Amino acid sequence: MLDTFSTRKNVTMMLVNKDDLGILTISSSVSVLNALVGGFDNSVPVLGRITNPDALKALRTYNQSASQAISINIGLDDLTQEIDPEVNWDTVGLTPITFGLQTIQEKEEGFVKKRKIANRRQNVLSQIESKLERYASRIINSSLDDIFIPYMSDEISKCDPEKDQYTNAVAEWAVASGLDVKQAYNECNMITSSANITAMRLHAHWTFFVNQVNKLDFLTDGVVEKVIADAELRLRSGL
Amino acid sequence: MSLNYFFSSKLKHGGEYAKNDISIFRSLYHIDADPFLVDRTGSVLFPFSENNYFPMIKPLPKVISWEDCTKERVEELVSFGKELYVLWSGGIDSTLMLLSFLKYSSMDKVTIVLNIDSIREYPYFYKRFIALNNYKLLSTEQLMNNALLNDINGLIVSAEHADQLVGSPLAQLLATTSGRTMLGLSFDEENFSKFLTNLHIPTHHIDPIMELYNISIKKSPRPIKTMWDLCWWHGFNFKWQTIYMKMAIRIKNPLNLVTFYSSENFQNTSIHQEGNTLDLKKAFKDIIVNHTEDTEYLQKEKFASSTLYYGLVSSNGLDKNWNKVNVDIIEYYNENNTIKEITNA
Repeated sequence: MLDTFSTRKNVTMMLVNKDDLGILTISSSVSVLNALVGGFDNSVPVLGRITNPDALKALRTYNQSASQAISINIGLDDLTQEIDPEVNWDTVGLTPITFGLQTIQEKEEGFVKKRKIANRRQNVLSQIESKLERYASRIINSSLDDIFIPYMSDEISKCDPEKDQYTNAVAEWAVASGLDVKQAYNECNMITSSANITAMRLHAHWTFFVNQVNKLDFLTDGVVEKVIADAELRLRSGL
Repeated sequence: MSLNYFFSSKLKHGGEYAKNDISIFRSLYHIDADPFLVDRTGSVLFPFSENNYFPMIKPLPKVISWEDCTKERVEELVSFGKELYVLWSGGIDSTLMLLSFLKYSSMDKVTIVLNIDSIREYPYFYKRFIALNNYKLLSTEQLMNNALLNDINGLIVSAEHADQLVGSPLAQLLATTSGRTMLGLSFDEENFSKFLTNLHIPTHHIDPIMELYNISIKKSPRPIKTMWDLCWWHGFNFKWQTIYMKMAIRIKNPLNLVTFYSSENFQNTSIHQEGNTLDLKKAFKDIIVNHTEDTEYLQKEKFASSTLYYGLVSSNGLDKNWNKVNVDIIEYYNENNTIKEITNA
């Protein structure tokens, strides 16, 4: 749900080191990817189309071992071409373009550790995001909610039930639902405020979790489990 | 300073507190997911300085029916002359509560608080008794948002304490872990010990825990003869305060909160009831069905999982003076607790 504005089809989402274009981690969520940027200086989210079968194969297991080191090859679909990151950097952004990949021969000091941390943060945030989506799912009532909730919230704010004033949208909703207009107003008001407050709360919690995760390296046993359990507790009961 | 309530994730999941009495206290998590227990009789002191806010009531000579209790409670709450925010989750307890307001009050001063989960829980009731009327409605999330930030003008009426009147949820846990027939067996050392063993409580913690219950049971207003009676006692005595405080901690002025099922008459009827080990809420369902004629409701087994607190940021402690506190539970450690006395004896 948090990926509303992205199209994930055929796009690989990568957290990339700006300096050497080394891929730190892969994610299936653009919101997780954007969150990770806050925890690594000089990193950037890159959504790229990768078509080379060998490159795709390499990426499939990339998060499983931090010792693998691959960089993106801007604008190319060739594993062998040399690149010059300084020159090509401007072409990298959130617009999907076709990339190639190449193995980094000489890893910079600390790259493996950075990858290890990135992988773990990515894993934790992805799990927390799944929880968040589970809690958010209870306020989804229709496939049209993305349009309905903001629209109806606006319409509700224009009504004044004290003066018996309702907008045409609320009046039409009443007719279609077999309710009178005041009943329709009450029901829509309840549904939209519930959805809006829930979304607001979850959004705030996501920001909290991102800040928390980006401060941790998860290199100590048990920390991953504790952070995920605490996230569940916070989402369930606010504690 | 003593506490009205505290929840500690560290206490529940961690092994930081090495004291033996705390270790035994932690075994209570096998019995109850939130064991900030308070002995209303005042006979047992737990290791974390609890304040007994709801002392045990004395039984009344006149016992009225559950239905009369609902009527009496509605009349009492309406007589306060305040706006009443009645929380309806769609479950049995809150449906009976709301139905009682529909039956016995004009609804002028009542706002029904619900969300989409309430409707999903009991759509028939929503359509027939709520949607087609012009009652004041407020989303659960909006009410909790208002109550968290403001001293709301009115009372929040929750359906809490219903479980504690009928032995739930411990009776359900007992039925699940030890078989439903055990609810009807004698309350004695053998059955109690078997139940605690089935809950995976460490063997060396079983005797002190049984002793905790035995001490308080001596002051029970109802004889504890069966294992169902024991479950009733756990809720009615030990759990009563936590049930109130877990909601009170989440609102700005905790005194704006009342629970529907805590009136003296409800408690008195609970003390004198026969109890139903096959369907704990049968008496409540019967009252609902008599009015709604929704006979399918009698088959309803699921108890609503309220979404009242989802994501609502809360402190984890409430002290005796209603201050919200966020500290380490160990700061409230009471050395003179009953568990320590039992183990030292």
